[in-house]
Amino acid sequence: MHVLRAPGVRVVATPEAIDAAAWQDAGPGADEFEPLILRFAPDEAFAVGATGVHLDDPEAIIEPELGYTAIMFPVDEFIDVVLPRMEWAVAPTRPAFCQGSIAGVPAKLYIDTTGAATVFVMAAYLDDFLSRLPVAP
Amino acid sequence: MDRFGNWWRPWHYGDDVAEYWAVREGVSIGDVSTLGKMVVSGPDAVDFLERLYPCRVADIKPGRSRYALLLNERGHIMDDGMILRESDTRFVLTFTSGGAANAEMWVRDWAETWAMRVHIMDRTMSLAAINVTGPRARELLQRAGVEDPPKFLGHTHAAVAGVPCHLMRLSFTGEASWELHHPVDRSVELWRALMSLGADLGIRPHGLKALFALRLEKGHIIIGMDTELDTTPRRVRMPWATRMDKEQFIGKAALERTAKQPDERLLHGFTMDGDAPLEGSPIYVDGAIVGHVSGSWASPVLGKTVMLGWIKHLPYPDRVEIDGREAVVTPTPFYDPEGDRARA
Repeated sequence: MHVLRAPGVRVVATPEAIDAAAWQDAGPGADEFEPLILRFAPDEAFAVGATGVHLDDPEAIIEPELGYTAIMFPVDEFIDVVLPRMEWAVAPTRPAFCQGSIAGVPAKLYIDTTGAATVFVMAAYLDDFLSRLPVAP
Repeated sequence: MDRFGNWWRPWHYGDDVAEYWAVREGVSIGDVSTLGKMVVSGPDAVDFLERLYPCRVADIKPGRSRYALLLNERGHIMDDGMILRESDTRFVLTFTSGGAANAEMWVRDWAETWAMRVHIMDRTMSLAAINVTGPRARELLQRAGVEDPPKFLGHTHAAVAGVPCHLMRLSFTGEASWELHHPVDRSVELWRALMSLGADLGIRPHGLKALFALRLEKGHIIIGMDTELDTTPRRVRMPWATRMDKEQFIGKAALERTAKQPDERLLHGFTMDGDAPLEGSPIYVDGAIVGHVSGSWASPVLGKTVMLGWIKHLPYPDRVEIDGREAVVTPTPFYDPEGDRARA
């Protein structure tokens, strides 16, 4: 398990504008995200690792988002530690993005093509989340 | 420490009375990160908020703000907070700590119901907030690099000690106050910078106990503490927060209907000598319980105990009995009734 900050850009805009958005990031190797686009809702996205965005919606709300923490799990640890603390089924496709309660904490879950997973929680929930896992980072 | 909404909040930092005096006479900072925070943007933003809130919204100028109640369809108070206008089509809304999650669902639900062209982003967990308050608060902000902090009910974006902030001038404590909303990952840095810059001003952080006392002296209500599930603006003496000449807003029809009916519930202010009774204490008239105390505090600055409490029996008395002692019905605010200190 690896815990790190997950800064990025959060956008609320028309779904069409988000679909066509051009995300900017700090460049290769600047962080562990390239950026990673998490679609919270049709009209809302969080681009982890992004530093800016161009999109076609003059009323879009675009804000730097510094409140999320990422907890990264290799495949085995995800299966052993995280899955038992989820009371809902994970989407079978890979990559997958899901949202729901994990260990009783509101969370976003991204599973990449290898099956490794990243749980995103708001920083204020991090202590609660980690305290409910049987392993320490 | 205690849990409020999704957060832990401190009751005090070791000496709640010293914290109280720091606000009244010097400068203090308080962690108000728990407040709900939301951005609303779009071509229908003004129309949407006019329908949502009982106060006027269209005449709030960019850079200005207004206190607002949030009512349900029955005209009962659900929440309160500020409406801050950033541009013609963009607003920031704040909500109470305990009511933020419910308010978010409420706002999103009505936007969808009315098919409004608005975007909504909840920022509650993304932004922290520090309230800088007291007669020397302006001096502290100037030391932190804010040459000209916004005037009462104004707001602006500026760096405070190098941290990007949305500064909002309002006052829950009764003293000059600026809320600094900022990225949550910079909060410790900002807190420490303010404490350092204010060290020779006698700065102290204040917890909830001092905050509740300060607001009580001003007669400011706390939703859920001084209100009940069926509290209307009239019952807490806040009809000024509703504009009945507006074409529509949620709760208007109910308020029009109930305004024609007699009411026998009213939040009152009380003063008495001696220690503050327990909050929740029954209020007696002629040996009968007529209500309860919703907030109490032995005010150092006023030299007497001040209280808010409900009387649910007509006629409303001039004197009551609380905790075996006589209490006098007293108009609020108890402290600085003209509000000069908050606007200073």
